[in-house]
Amino acid sequence: MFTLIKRTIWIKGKTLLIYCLIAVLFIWMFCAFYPSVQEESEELKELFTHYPEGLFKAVGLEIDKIGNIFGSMESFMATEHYSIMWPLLIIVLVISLGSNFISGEIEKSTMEFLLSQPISRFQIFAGKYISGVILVIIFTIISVFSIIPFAVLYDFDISLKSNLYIGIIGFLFGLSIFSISMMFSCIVSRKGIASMLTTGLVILMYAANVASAFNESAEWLQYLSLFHYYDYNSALIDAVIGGLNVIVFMGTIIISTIVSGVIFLKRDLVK
Amino acid sequence: MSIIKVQNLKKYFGPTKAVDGISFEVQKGEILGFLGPNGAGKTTTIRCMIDILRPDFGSIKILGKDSKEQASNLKKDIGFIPADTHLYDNWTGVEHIQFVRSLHNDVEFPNELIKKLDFDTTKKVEDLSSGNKQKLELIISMMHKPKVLILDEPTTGLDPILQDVILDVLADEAKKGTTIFMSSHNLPEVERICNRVLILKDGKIVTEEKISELKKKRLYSVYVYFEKQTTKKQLQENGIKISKDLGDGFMLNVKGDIRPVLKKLNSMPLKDIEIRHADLEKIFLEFYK
Repeated sequence: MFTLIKRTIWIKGKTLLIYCLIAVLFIWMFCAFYPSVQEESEELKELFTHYPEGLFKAVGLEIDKIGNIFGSMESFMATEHYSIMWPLLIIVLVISLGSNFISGEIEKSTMEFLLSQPISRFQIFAGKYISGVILVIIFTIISVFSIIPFAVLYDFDISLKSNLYIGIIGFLFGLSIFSISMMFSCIVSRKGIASMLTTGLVILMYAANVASAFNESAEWLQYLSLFHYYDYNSALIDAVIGGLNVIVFMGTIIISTIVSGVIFLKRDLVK
Repeated sequence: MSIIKVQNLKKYFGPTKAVDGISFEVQKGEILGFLGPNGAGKTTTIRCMIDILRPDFGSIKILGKDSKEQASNLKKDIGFIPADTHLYDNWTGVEHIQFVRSLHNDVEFPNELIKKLDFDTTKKVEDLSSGNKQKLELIISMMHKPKVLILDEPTTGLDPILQDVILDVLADEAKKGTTIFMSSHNLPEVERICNRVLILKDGKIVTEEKISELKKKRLYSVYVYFEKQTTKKQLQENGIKISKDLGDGFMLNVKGDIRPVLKKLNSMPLKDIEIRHADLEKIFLEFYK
């Protein structure tokens, strides 16, 4: 199984490198902007008060906290980077990994090659899953903690605890979507369909979270969305991770993984 | 001792009975041919043996081990070539070989086999011809010196020279005691290297034949052209049955031994003759309706 993990990570190394590079470039861009943004914070606060309230709700911001956006690097990054850009990057990465790992191999018939080798179905599934976990960890560490050298370079303070917490909540969020992607990948034999199903579900969850912010009667919808539990504001600004958030992510990961594993062990592995 | 033992194997895809209760055994050192027309269930049976498909019913034991429960352990002793290439397009030959080596406790690098097959290991699979892909499949399936080879139409689509090379390699393996289970669509190749054949049709085993018996069931299409004008009547008077009048010659369908017909034709003013082996579909229509 170690051979399979090593090989899978090696193959996906180039993809991971590209995603990490994009994430680092974003961090660099925000870090480079931050000192000048901070200088002009009063003008920007004034400008933001004229924006429609719905726009802030759509990205998960509370209107009364907008004034604090530029107060610290953490609140600035929470608004600018971790609200949309970072989750978008990790979502695209994990959906691509999950759908390639199982349905991609079935579609290309390379699953037959793996199955003809002395590795059990369980080892193939576990090897692929562990590879995915390692890749998500690498992406999270690089994309979150690359802020440290930039903080030194541009001379501003950061909270390591807050960044550790956003790393943890971001990792759990990414791993949950990866597990869902693996589940769909185990159910269908076409990579495109597996990607489409996961993407569709993620869009639905995002829409549910946004809808709940606009309509009080639809508030319950937010509890069905993983975006609600990806509380980047609390993690970065307050350095807090809610217990329920961890439980929901862990539950999603465990249930999706068990379902994926059972299906993979039982099904025919041809297209 | 039975090296492969399949009992009452069934595999259905919805209403389609791809494999419908087949049972057979293969003995040590034997080369068993698995013959059948397209859609007969050959590939489905083989995929069940490799645990790519999960049977609906029945059991498969190879080297005394259950093909599903002890799959990973069993595959240390099995070499497999699928009907269609299943390699990674962006890996080179040597990357495939190293990957397989590491899964088989770092077995020896197969330099001898690579040399024998004249294979370039440095090219990516996507840049290889179908013949070279098949060579790589053969190297990968044999490099760990398996006790059993399971091959799904290993020579399909290859040129006759490469077919010969592959069949020679397989015959050598069988001499060393390797048990070979080989599906094929090509009667002459089965006749050349197999000891026994199973004939499969519509998911069921129609018959089991020794090669000597199978040879009696040969079917030929003979195209004859004459120097002088020869009539249907003249041929029929010689006891030759005509299938088709070609205008400048005749087509004859010959079952079994062709020599008596050739002897009769030899006494006539022959200008040209072309003998073709009938394909498996025709043989099936003729003998296994």
